[in-house]
Amino acid sequence: MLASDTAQLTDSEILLWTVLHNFEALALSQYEKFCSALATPEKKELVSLLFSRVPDNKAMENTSLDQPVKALLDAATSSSEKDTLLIQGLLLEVLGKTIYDTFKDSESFTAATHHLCSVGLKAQDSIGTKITTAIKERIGTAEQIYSAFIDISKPVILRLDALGESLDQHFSEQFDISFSDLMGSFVAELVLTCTNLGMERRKIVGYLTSALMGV
Amino acid sequence: MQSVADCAAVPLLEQESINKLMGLAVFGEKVASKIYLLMADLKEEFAPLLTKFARMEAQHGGWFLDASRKNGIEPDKEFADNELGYLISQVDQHYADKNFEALAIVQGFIVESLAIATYESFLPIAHKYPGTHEVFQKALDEENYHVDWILRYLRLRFFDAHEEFQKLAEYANIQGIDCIGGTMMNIAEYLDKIGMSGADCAGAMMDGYTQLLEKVGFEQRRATKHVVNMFMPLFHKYRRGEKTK
Repeated sequence: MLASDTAQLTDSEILLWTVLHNFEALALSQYEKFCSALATPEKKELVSLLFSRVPDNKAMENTSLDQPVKALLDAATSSSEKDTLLIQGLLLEVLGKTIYDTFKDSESFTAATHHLCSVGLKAQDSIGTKITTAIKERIGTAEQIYSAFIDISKPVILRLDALGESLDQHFSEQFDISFSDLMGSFVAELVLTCTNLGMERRKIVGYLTSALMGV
Repeated sequence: MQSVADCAAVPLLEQESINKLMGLAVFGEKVASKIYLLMADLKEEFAPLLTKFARMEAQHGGWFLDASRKNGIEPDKEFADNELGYLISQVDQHYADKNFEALAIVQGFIVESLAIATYESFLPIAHKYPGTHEVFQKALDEENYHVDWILRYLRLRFFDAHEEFQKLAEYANIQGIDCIGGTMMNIAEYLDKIGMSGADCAGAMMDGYTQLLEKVGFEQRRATKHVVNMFMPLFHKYRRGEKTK
Protein backbone atom coordinates (compact mmCIF):
# COMPACT_ATOMS: atom_id res chain seq x y z
CA MET A 1 0.00 0.00 0.00
CA LEU A 2 1.30 3.43 -0.89
CA ALA A 3 1.57 6.09 1.78
CA SER A 4 -0.72 8.29 -0.33
CA ASP A 5 -3.46 5.66 -0.07
CA THR A 6 -3.83 6.32 3.62
CA ALA A 7 -2.74 9.97 3.76
CA GLN A 8 -5.16 12.24 5.54
CA LEU A 9 -7.58 14.36 3.59
CA THR A 10 -8.23 17.80 5.00
CA ASP A 11 -11.79 18.74 6.00
CA SER A 12 -12.25 20.71 2.78
CA GLU A 13 -10.93 17.81 0.74
CA ILE A 14 -13.32 15.44 2.51
CA LEU A 15 -16.17 17.72 1.45
CA LEU A 16 -14.83 17.87 -2.11
CA TRP A 17 -14.45 14.10 -2.40
CA THR A 18 -17.86 13.54 -0.85
CA VAL A 19 -19.31 15.49 -3.76
CA LEU A 20 -17.18 13.67 -6.32
CA HIS A 21 -17.93 10.27 -4.74
CA ASN A 22 -21.63 10.87 -5.33
CA PHE A 23 -21.03 11.51 -9.02
CA GLU A 24 -18.61 8.62 -9.53
CA ALA A 25 -20.98 6.23 -7.74
CA LEU A 26 -23.86 7.40 -9.92
CA ALA A 27 -21.76 6.96 -13.06
CA LEU A 28 -20.82 3.41 -12.10
CA SER A 29 -24.39 2.43 -11.25
CA GLN A 30 -25.64 3.90 -14.54
CA TYR A 31 -22.95 2.05 -16.50
CA GLU A 32 -23.77 -1.21 -14.71
CA LYS A 33 -27.43 -0.74 -15.58
CA PHE A 34 -27.17 0.44 -19.19
CA CYS A 35 -23.62 0.07 -20.60
CA SER A 36 -21.83 -2.70 -18.78
CA ALA A 37 -18.69 -2.34 -20.91
CA LEU A 38 -18.08 1.01 -19.22
CA ALA A 39 -18.25 -0.44 -15.72
CA THR A 40 -14.55 -1.27 -15.91
CA PRO A 41 -12.48 -2.70 -13.06
CA GLU A 42 -10.69 0.68 -12.86
CA LYS A 43 -13.98 2.53 -12.44
CA LYS A 44 -15.04 0.07 -9.75
CA GLU A 45 -11.69 0.49 -8.02
CA LEU A 46 -12.14 4.26 -7.99
CA VAL A 47 -15.64 4.09 -6.48
CA SER A 48 -14.52 1.53 -3.94
CA LEU A 49 -11.55 3.69 -2.95
CA LEU A 50 -13.78 6.75 -2.63
CA PHE A 51 -16.17 4.74 -0.48
CA SER A 52 -13.31 3.84 1.83
CA ARG A 53 -12.20 7.49 2.11
CA VAL A 54 -15.57 9.22 2.27
CA PRO A 55 -18.14 6.54 3.14
CA ASP A 56 -21.14 8.84 3.66
CA ASN A 57 -22.57 12.28 2.94
CA LYS A 58 -22.09 13.67 6.45
CA ALA A 59 -19.59 16.31 5.34
CA MET A 60 -22.01 17.67 2.76
CA GLU A 61 -25.16 17.64 4.89
CA ASN A 62 -26.32 21.05 6.08
CA THR A 63 -24.03 22.83 3.65
CA SER A 64 -25.07 24.98 0.71
CA LEU A 65 -23.76 22.21 -1.56
CA ASP A 66 -26.29 19.62 -0.48
CA GLN A 67 -29.31 20.75 -2.50
CA PRO A 68 -27.57 21.77 -5.76
CA VAL A 69 -25.55 18.53 -5.74
CA LYS A 70 -28.72 16.49 -5.28
CA ALA A 71 -30.42 18.47 -8.06
CA LEU A 72 -27.52 17.78 -10.40
CA LEU A 73 -27.42 14.09 -9.48
CA ASP A 74 -31.14 13.92 -10.16
CA ALA A 75 -30.76 15.59 -13.57
CA ALA A 76 -27.86 13.28 -14.43
CA THR A 77 -29.76 10.09 -13.63
CA SER A 78 -30.74 8.62 -16.98
CA SER A 79 -33.24 5.98 -17.89
CA SER A 80 -31.71 4.67 -21.11
CA GLU A 81 -28.45 3.57 -22.63
CA LYS A 82 -28.39 6.54 -25.02
CA ASP A 83 -28.89 9.11 -22.27
CA THR A 84 -26.32 7.42 -20.06
CA LEU A 85 -23.75 7.51 -22.85
CA LEU A 86 -24.33 11.21 -23.47
CA ILE A 87 -24.80 12.49 -19.93
CA GLN A 88 -22.42 10.25 -18.02
CA GLY A 89 -20.14 9.07 -20.77
CA LEU A 90 -19.70 12.32 -22.63
CA LEU A 91 -20.62 15.27 -20.42
CA LEU A 92 -19.77 14.20 -16.88
CA GLU A 93 -16.73 12.08 -17.74
CA VAL A 94 -15.25 15.14 -19.46
CA LEU A 95 -16.04 17.16 -16.34
CA GLY A 96 -14.41 14.53 -14.14
CA LYS A 97 -11.31 14.43 -16.31
CA THR A 98 -11.10 18.22 -16.16
CA ILE A 99 -11.34 18.20 -12.37
CA TYR A 100 -8.76 15.45 -11.89
CA ASP A 101 -6.39 17.00 -14.42
CA THR A 102 -6.68 20.38 -12.72
CA PHE A 103 -6.23 19.11 -9.16
CA LYS A 104 -3.64 16.40 -9.67
CA ASP A 105 -0.64 18.70 -9.70
CA SER A 106 -2.02 21.59 -7.71
CA GLU A 107 -0.02 22.45 -4.61
CA SER A 108 -3.23 23.50 -2.89
CA PHE A 109 -4.11 19.84 -2.36
CA THR A 110 -2.55 17.12 -0.22
CA ALA A 111 -0.91 13.97 -1.53
CA ALA A 112 -4.11 12.11 -0.65
CA THR A 113 -6.08 14.14 -3.19
CA HIS A 114 -3.31 13.83 -5.77
CA HIS A 115 -3.52 10.07 -5.38
CA LEU A 116 -7.31 9.99 -5.73
CA CYS A 117 -7.01 12.13 -8.86
CA SER A 118 -4.52 9.71 -10.40
CA VAL A 119 -6.89 6.80 -9.69
CA GLY A 120 -9.70 8.87 -11.20
CA LEU A 121 -7.69 9.54 -14.34
CA LYS A 122 -6.81 5.86 -14.63
CA ALA A 123 -10.52 5.07 -14.50
CA GLN A 124 -11.14 7.66 -17.22
CA ASP A 125 -8.44 6.15 -19.40
CA SER A 126 -10.03 2.74 -19.07
CA ILE A 127 -13.29 3.90 -20.63
CA GLY A 128 -12.41 6.88 -22.85
CA THR A 129 -12.17 5.05 -26.16
CA LYS A 130 -15.03 2.73 -25.27
CA ILE A 131 -17.33 5.71 -24.76
CA THR A 132 -16.51 7.23 -28.15
CA THR A 133 -17.03 3.89 -29.87
CA ALA A 134 -20.27 3.18 -28.02
CA ILE A 135 -21.69 6.66 -28.76
CA LYS A 136 -20.97 6.26 -32.48
CA GLU A 137 -22.33 2.71 -32.59
CA ARG A 138 -25.47 3.33 -30.55
CA ILE A 139 -26.44 6.83 -31.61
CA GLY A 140 -25.18 7.20 -35.16
CA THR A 141 -23.86 10.06 -37.24
CA ALA A 142 -22.32 13.22 -35.85
CA GLU A 143 -25.53 15.12 -36.57
CA GLN A 144 -27.61 12.52 -34.74
CA ILE A 145 -25.23 12.63 -31.79
CA TYR A 146 -25.44 16.44 -31.74
CA SER A 147 -29.26 16.41 -31.85
CA ALA A 148 -29.48 13.82 -29.09
CA PHE A 149 -26.93 15.70 -26.99
CA ILE A 150 -28.71 19.06 -27.17
CA ASP A 151 -32.04 17.35 -26.51
CA ILE A 152 -31.05 16.06 -23.10
CA SER A 153 -28.02 17.90 -21.78
CA LYS A 154 -29.32 21.40 -21.09
CA PRO A 155 -30.87 20.67 -17.65
CA VAL A 156 -27.63 19.03 -16.56
CA ILE A 157 -25.51 21.97 -17.74
CA LEU A 158 -27.84 24.44 -16.05
CA ARG A 159 -27.75 22.56 -12.76
CA LEU A 160 -24.00 22.27 -12.99
CA ASP A 161 -23.79 26.01 -13.49
CA ALA A 162 -26.16 26.55 -10.56
CA LEU A 163 -23.71 24.63 -8.38
CA GLY A 164 -20.97 27.14 -9.15
CA GLU A 165 -21.72 29.65 -6.43
CA SER A 166 -21.69 27.03 -3.67
CA LEU A 167 -18.54 25.44 -5.03
CA ASP A 168 -16.80 28.83 -5.02
CA GLN A 169 -18.05 29.51 -1.51
CA HIS A 170 -16.52 26.30 -0.18
CA PHE A 171 -13.46 25.75 -2.34
CA SER A 172 -12.37 28.83 -4.24
CA GLU A 173 -10.23 30.46 -1.58
CA GLN A 174 -9.12 27.18 -0.05
CA PHE A 175 -7.87 25.64 -3.26
CA ASP A 176 -7.14 28.77 -5.28
CA ILE A 177 -9.42 27.81 -8.15
CA SER A 178 -12.62 29.43 -9.30
CA PHE A 179 -15.65 27.78 -10.81
CA SER A 180 -15.24 30.00 -13.89
CA ASP A 181 -11.72 28.65 -14.43
CA LEU A 182 -12.92 25.10 -14.02
CA MET A 183 -15.84 25.66 -16.39
CA GLY A 184 -13.50 27.25 -18.91
CA SER A 185 -11.33 24.14 -18.90
CA PHE A 186 -14.38 21.90 -18.95
CA VAL A 187 -16.02 23.64 -21.91
CA ALA A 188 -12.71 23.69 -23.81
CA GLU A 189 -12.32 19.95 -23.25
CA LEU A 190 -15.97 19.28 -24.10
CA VAL A 191 -15.74 21.23 -27.37
CA LEU A 192 -12.68 19.20 -28.35
CA THR A 193 -14.36 15.91 -27.42
CA CYS A 194 -17.49 16.84 -29.37
CA THR A 195 -15.51 17.88 -32.46
CA ASN A 196 -13.61 14.59 -32.23
CA LEU A 197 -17.01 12.90 -32.43
CA GLY A 198 -17.55 14.79 -35.67
CA MET A 199 -19.83 17.55 -34.36
CA GLU A 200 -19.54 20.98 -35.94
CA ARG A 201 -17.55 23.24 -33.68
CA ARG A 202 -19.57 26.42 -34.32
CA LYS A 203 -22.78 24.57 -33.51
CA ILE A 204 -21.51 23.03 -30.32
CA VAL A 205 -20.06 26.35 -29.11
CA GLY A 206 -23.37 28.04 -29.95
CA TYR A 207 -25.31 25.40 -28.07
CA LEU A 208 -23.08 25.57 -24.98
CA THR A 209 -23.30 29.37 -25.02
CA SER A 210 -27.09 29.27 -25.06
CA ALA A 211 -27.13 26.62 -22.33
CA LEU A 212 -24.83 28.68 -20.11
CA MET A 213 -26.87 31.81 -20.79
CA GLY A 214 -29.90 29.83 -19.68
CA VAL A 215 -31.71 30.43 -22.97
CA MET B 1 -46.11 53.15 -2.91
CA GLN B 2 -45.41 51.21 -6.06
CA SER B 3 -47.49 48.14 -6.74
CA VAL B 4 -46.06 44.92 -8.13
CA ALA B 5 -47.71 45.79 -11.42
CA ASP B 6 -45.92 49.15 -11.47
CA CYS B 7 -42.60 47.40 -11.02
CA ALA B 8 -43.23 44.77 -13.69
CA ALA B 9 -40.89 45.00 -16.64
CA VAL B 10 -42.31 46.89 -19.57
CA PRO B 11 -42.39 44.55 -22.57
CA LEU B 12 -39.47 45.36 -24.76
CA LEU B 13 -40.78 46.58 -28.08
CA GLU B 14 -39.22 45.59 -31.34
CA GLN B 15 -38.91 49.24 -32.31
CA GLU B 16 -37.04 50.08 -29.13
CA SER B 17 -34.76 47.11 -29.73
CA ILE B 18 -33.90 47.98 -33.32
CA ASN B 19 -33.31 51.59 -32.28
CA LYS B 20 -30.77 50.45 -29.71
CA LEU B 21 -29.11 47.94 -32.03
CA MET B 22 -28.83 50.42 -34.87
CA GLY B 23 -27.49 52.98 -32.40
CA LEU B 24 -24.75 50.57 -31.49
CA ALA B 25 -24.06 49.75 -35.15
CA VAL B 26 -23.93 53.40 -36.29
CA PHE B 27 -21.90 54.77 -33.37
CA GLY B 28 -19.85 51.59 -32.95
CA GLU B 29 -18.63 51.99 -36.53
CA LYS B 30 -17.57 55.54 -35.67
CA VAL B 31 -15.56 54.26 -32.72
CA ALA B 32 -14.00 51.61 -34.97
CA SER B 33 -13.04 54.38 -37.35
CA LYS B 34 -11.42 56.30 -34.49
CA ILE B 35 -9.44 53.24 -33.38
CA TYR B 36 -8.03 52.67 -36.87
CA LEU B 37 -7.03 56.35 -37.00
CA LEU B 38 -5.22 56.02 -33.66
CA MET B 39 -3.46 52.93 -34.98
CA ALA B 40 -2.48 54.85 -38.13
CA ASP B 41 -1.00 57.53 -35.91
CA LEU B 42 1.17 54.99 -34.09
CA LYS B 43 2.60 53.21 -37.16
CA GLU B 44 3.53 55.53 -39.96
CA GLU B 45 4.32 52.69 -42.35
CA PHE B 46 0.73 51.44 -42.15
CA ALA B 47 -0.94 54.84 -41.94
CA PRO B 48 -2.30 54.94 -45.51
CA LEU B 49 -3.95 51.51 -45.18
CA LEU B 50 -5.28 52.07 -41.67
CA THR B 51 -6.63 55.48 -42.66
CA LYS B 52 -8.44 53.74 -45.49
CA PHE B 53 -9.88 51.24 -42.99
CA ALA B 54 -11.00 54.19 -40.84
CA ARG B 55 -12.80 55.74 -43.81
CA MET B 56 -14.51 52.43 -44.56
CA GLU B 57 -15.72 52.12 -40.97
CA ALA B 58 -17.04 55.67 -41.00
CA GLN B 59 -18.80 54.91 -44.25
CA HIS B 60 -20.48 51.86 -42.69
CA GLY B 61 -21.86 54.14 -40.00
CA GLY B 62 -23.20 56.45 -42.71
CA TRP B 63 -24.81 53.58 -44.62
CA PHE B 64 -26.47 52.28 -41.46
CA LEU B 65 -27.76 55.75 -40.59
CA ASP B 66 -29.28 56.20 -44.06
CA ALA B 67 -30.86 52.74 -43.95
CA SER B 68 -32.23 53.49 -40.48
CA ARG B 69 -33.88 56.70 -41.65
CA LYS B 70 -35.52 54.90 -44.57
CA ASN B 71 -37.02 52.40 -42.11
CA GLY B 72 -38.17 54.82 -39.44
CA ILE B 73 -35.44 53.67 -37.06
CA GLU B 74 -33.97 56.22 -34.63
CA PRO B 75 -30.47 55.01 -33.70
CA ASP B 76 -30.27 55.31 -29.91
CA LYS B 77 -27.15 57.37 -29.26
CA GLU B 78 -27.50 57.42 -25.50
CA PHE B 79 -27.58 53.63 -25.37
CA ALA B 80 -24.62 53.39 -27.72
CA ASP B 81 -22.60 55.95 -25.76
CA ASN B 82 -23.22 54.02 -22.60
CA GLU B 83 -22.02 50.77 -24.16
CA LEU B 84 -19.07 52.30 -25.97
CA GLY B 85 -17.72 54.55 -23.20
CA TYR B 86 -15.83 51.72 -21.52
CA LEU B 87 -14.32 50.65 -24.84
CA ILE B 88 -13.20 54.18 -25.64
CA SER B 89 -11.45 54.57 -22.29
CA GLN B 90 -9.53 51.31 -22.88
CA VAL B 91 -8.59 52.37 -26.37
CA ASP B 92 -7.37 55.75 -25.14
CA GLN B 93 -5.20 53.99 -22.57
CA HIS B 94 -3.65 51.65 -25.16
CA TYR B 95 -3.01 54.67 -27.40
CA ALA B 96 -1.43 56.62 -24.53
CA ASP B 97 0.81 53.57 -23.93
CA LYS B 98 1.62 53.56 -27.68
CA ASN B 99 0.54 49.91 -27.64
CA PHE B 100 -0.30 49.33 -31.31
CA GLU B 101 -0.60 45.57 -30.90
CA ALA B 102 -3.12 45.87 -28.05
CA LEU B 103 -5.20 48.20 -30.23
CA ALA B 104 -4.93 45.68 -33.07
CA ILE B 105 -6.29 42.93 -30.83
CA VAL B 106 -9.08 45.05 -29.35
CA GLN B 107 -10.22 46.45 -32.70
CA GLY B 108 -9.19 43.78 -35.19
CA PHE B 109 -10.15 40.75 -33.14
CA ILE B 110 -12.59 41.65 -30.37
CA VAL B 111 -14.65 44.51 -31.84
CA GLU B 112 -14.63 42.99 -35.32
CA SER B 113 -15.70 39.59 -33.90
CA LEU B 114 -18.75 41.23 -32.35
CA ALA B 115 -19.55 43.06 -35.58
CA ILE B 116 -19.09 40.00 -37.78
CA ALA B 117 -21.14 37.72 -35.51
CA THR B 118 -24.06 40.16 -35.37
CA TYR B 119 -23.98 41.28 -39.02
CA GLU B 120 -23.88 37.66 -40.22
CA SER B 121 -26.84 36.80 -38.02
CA PHE B 122 -28.74 39.92 -39.11
CA LEU B 123 -28.63 39.11 -42.83
CA PRO B 124 -31.34 36.39 -42.76
CA ILE B 125 -33.81 38.85 -41.17
CA ALA B 126 -32.62 41.98 -43.00
CA HIS B 127 -35.59 41.76 -45.40
CA LYS B 128 -37.73 43.14 -42.56
CA TYR B 129 -35.90 46.44 -42.99
CA PRO B 130 -35.70 47.23 -46.72
CA GLY B 131 -32.30 48.31 -47.96
CA THR B 132 -30.38 46.97 -44.96
CA HIS B 133 -29.32 43.65 -46.46
CA GLU B 134 -27.11 45.25 -49.08
CA VAL B 135 -25.32 47.59 -46.68
CA PHE B 136 -24.82 45.01 -43.95
CA GLN B 137 -23.49 42.49 -46.47
CA LYS B 138 -21.03 45.09 -47.80
CA ALA B 139 -20.00 46.08 -44.28
CA LEU B 140 -19.56 42.42 -43.35
CA ASP B 141 -17.30 41.80 -46.36
CA GLU B 142 -15.21 44.82 -45.43
CA GLU B 143 -14.96 43.83 -41.76
CA ASN B 144 -13.62 40.45 -42.90
CA TYR B 145 -11.14 42.30 -45.11
CA HIS B 146 -9.93 44.31 -42.10
CA VAL B 147 -9.63 41.18 -39.96
CA ASP B 148 -7.64 39.52 -42.73
CA TRP B 149 -5.03 42.28 -42.55
CA ILE B 150 -4.93 42.36 -38.75
CA LEU B 151 -4.47 38.59 -38.74
CA ARG B 152 -1.60 38.77 -41.23
CA TYR B 153 0.02 41.60 -39.27
CA LEU B 154 -0.19 39.79 -35.93
CA ARG B 155 1.01 36.49 -37.42
CA LEU B 156 4.10 38.17 -38.79
CA ARG B 157 4.69 40.38 -35.78
CA PHE B 158 4.52 37.41 -33.43
CA PHE B 159 6.01 34.82 -35.75
CA ASP B 160 8.08 32.53 -33.55
CA ALA B 161 6.98 34.60 -30.53
CA HIS B 162 3.76 32.88 -29.57
CA GLU B 163 4.33 33.23 -25.85
CA GLU B 164 4.73 36.98 -26.24
CA PHE B 165 1.51 37.11 -28.24
CA GLN B 166 -0.35 35.06 -25.69
CA LYS B 167 0.73 37.36 -22.87
CA LEU B 168 -0.33 40.41 -24.84
CA ALA B 169 -3.65 38.86 -25.88
CA GLU B 170 -4.43 37.84 -22.33
CA TYR B 171 -3.66 41.37 -21.18
CA ALA B 172 -5.75 43.02 -23.90
CA ASN B 173 -8.54 40.52 -23.53
CA ILE B 174 -9.22 40.89 -19.85
CA GLN B 175 -10.78 44.32 -20.35
CA GLY B 176 -11.62 43.84 -23.99
CA ILE B 177 -13.88 40.85 -23.55
CA ASP B 178 -15.34 42.22 -20.34
CA CYS B 179 -16.30 45.28 -22.36
CA ILE B 180 -17.30 43.90 -25.77
CA GLY B 181 -18.56 40.56 -24.47
CA GLY B 182 -20.49 42.56 -21.89
CA THR B 183 -22.08 44.56 -24.69
CA MET B 184 -23.00 41.31 -26.42
CA MET B 185 -24.81 40.18 -23.26
CA ASN B 186 -26.49 43.57 -22.91
CA ILE B 187 -27.87 43.45 -26.46
CA ALA B 188 -28.85 39.77 -26.41
CA GLU B 189 -32.48 40.43 -25.52
CA TYR B 190 -32.75 43.17 -28.18
CA LEU B 191 -31.40 40.74 -30.76
CA ASP B 192 -33.99 38.19 -29.67
CA LYS B 193 -36.71 40.80 -29.94
CA ILE B 194 -36.04 41.58 -33.60
CA GLY B 195 -35.99 37.92 -34.55
CA MET B 196 -32.30 37.08 -34.17
CA SER B 197 -30.80 34.95 -31.40
CA GLY B 198 -28.63 36.71 -28.83
CA ALA B 199 -27.22 33.38 -27.69
CA ASP B 200 -26.31 32.33 -31.25
CA CYS B 201 -24.60 35.67 -31.82
CA ALA B 202 -22.67 35.32 -28.56
CA GLY B 203 -21.64 31.78 -29.52
CA ALA B 204 -20.57 32.93 -32.97
CA MET B 205 -18.57 35.78 -31.46
CA MET B 206 -16.85 33.45 -28.98
CA ASP B 207 -16.05 30.88 -31.62
CA GLY B 208 -14.93 33.46 -34.18
CA TYR B 209 -12.69 35.15 -31.67
CA THR B 210 -11.26 31.85 -30.43
CA GLN B 211 -10.39 30.86 -33.99
CA LEU B 212 -8.57 34.15 -34.56
CA LEU B 213 -6.46 33.55 -31.45
CA GLU B 214 -5.65 30.06 -32.71
CA LYS B 215 -4.56 31.40 -36.08
CA VAL B 216 -1.98 33.65 -34.44
CA GLY B 217 -0.56 31.03 -32.11
CA PHE B 218 -2.83 29.90 -29.31
CA GLU B 219 -3.21 26.15 -29.03
CA GLN B 220 -6.91 25.24 -29.51
CA ARG B 221 -7.59 24.03 -25.98
CA ARG B 222 -5.89 27.05 -24.43
CA ALA B 223 -7.67 29.49 -26.74
CA THR B 224 -11.09 28.00 -25.99
CA LYS B 225 -10.42 27.87 -22.28
CA HIS B 226 -9.15 31.44 -22.27
CA VAL B 227 -12.19 32.81 -24.08
CA VAL B 228 -14.75 30.76 -22.13
CA ASN B 229 -13.16 31.79 -18.81
CA MET B 230 -13.72 35.42 -19.70
CA PHE B 231 -17.30 34.89 -20.80
CA MET B 232 -18.38 32.81 -17.78
CA PRO B 233 -18.90 35.77 -15.40
CA LEU B 234 -20.84 37.52 -18.17
CA PHE B 235 -23.10 34.49 -18.62
CA HIS B 236 -23.77 34.45 -14.89
CA LYS B 237 -24.74 38.10 -14.90
CA TYR B 238 -26.93 37.58 -17.94
CA ARG B 239 -28.78 34.71 -16.31
CA ARG B 240 -29.41 36.81 -13.24
CA GLY B 241 -30.73 39.63 -15.37
CA GLU B 242 -27.88 41.94 -14.36
CA LYS B 243 -26.28 44.46 -16.67
CA THR B 244 -22.68 43.59 -17.35
CA LYS B 245 -21.22 47.07 -17.02
